Amino acid sequence: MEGILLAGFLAFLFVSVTAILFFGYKGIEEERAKKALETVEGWPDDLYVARFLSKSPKAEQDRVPEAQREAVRLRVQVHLDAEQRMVDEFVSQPTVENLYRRAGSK
Amino acid sequence: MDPEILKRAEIFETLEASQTARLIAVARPHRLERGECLFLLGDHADRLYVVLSGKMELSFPLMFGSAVREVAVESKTPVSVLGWSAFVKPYRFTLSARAVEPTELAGFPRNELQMVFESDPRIGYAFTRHVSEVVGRRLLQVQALWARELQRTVTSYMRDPGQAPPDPSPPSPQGR
Repeated sequence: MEGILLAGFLAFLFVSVTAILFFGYKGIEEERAKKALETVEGWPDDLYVARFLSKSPKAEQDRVPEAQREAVRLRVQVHLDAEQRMVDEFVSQPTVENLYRRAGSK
Repeated sequence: MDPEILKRAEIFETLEASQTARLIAVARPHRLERGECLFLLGDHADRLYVVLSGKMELSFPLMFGSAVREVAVESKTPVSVLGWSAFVKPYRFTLSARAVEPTELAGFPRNELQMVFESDPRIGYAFTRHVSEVVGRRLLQVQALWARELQRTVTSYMRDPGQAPPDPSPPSPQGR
């Protein structure tokens, strides 16, 4: 009688542990699949314009503050404006000196 | 649409009054509010535009982190022309155009202009000469920008020979 109870208890224990491991594994796999799906579906629509550029996960987009992004954009714009002025001088007078003149110099 | 403003456009400066009138006859008015887009980089180009009033900004996209932002390369004010890509294959706009303020433009459809050119080749010659000047100027600008950027890269390599070449492409998504 005691042997039967012990066997039953051990069987119950075995089934419980197996069920815990199985459902735990299933939960982890579902979580992984969900994250992979978010990576694909989270691409913002405004990247249609620059579709030749690769796309980044939504999580990465949220990490960069907009102010930082705008500050970099302004720096690039200032740099480009200065370069355009140098290049316009080169176009009106194409010389090696004008081509490689430092932006801001005369 | 004021034809007197159109007549001052650079593409018309070598034409006779009658020739200018024939071109103006095929012009279509366009009006844009501030921030409104006329065309995007890569769009099909089927008409040339002359700015009548206001201001247009030409730009191209850059990646800042994972977001796309437009960077301005040129402004177009009244009587200047934009959209020469409508006359150069593959007929795709190479920059985006957006109104900086309320703007009026005259649009010239390519197929209708070509009919005018066929009936009077002198108009076509004057037009093509202007387009080639615009294209040539843009080529020189881009060539110079590229040469200067390349020189910076060379100078950087000379200072640090072990430095990896800069990768212009933005970071790819994880797992890809």
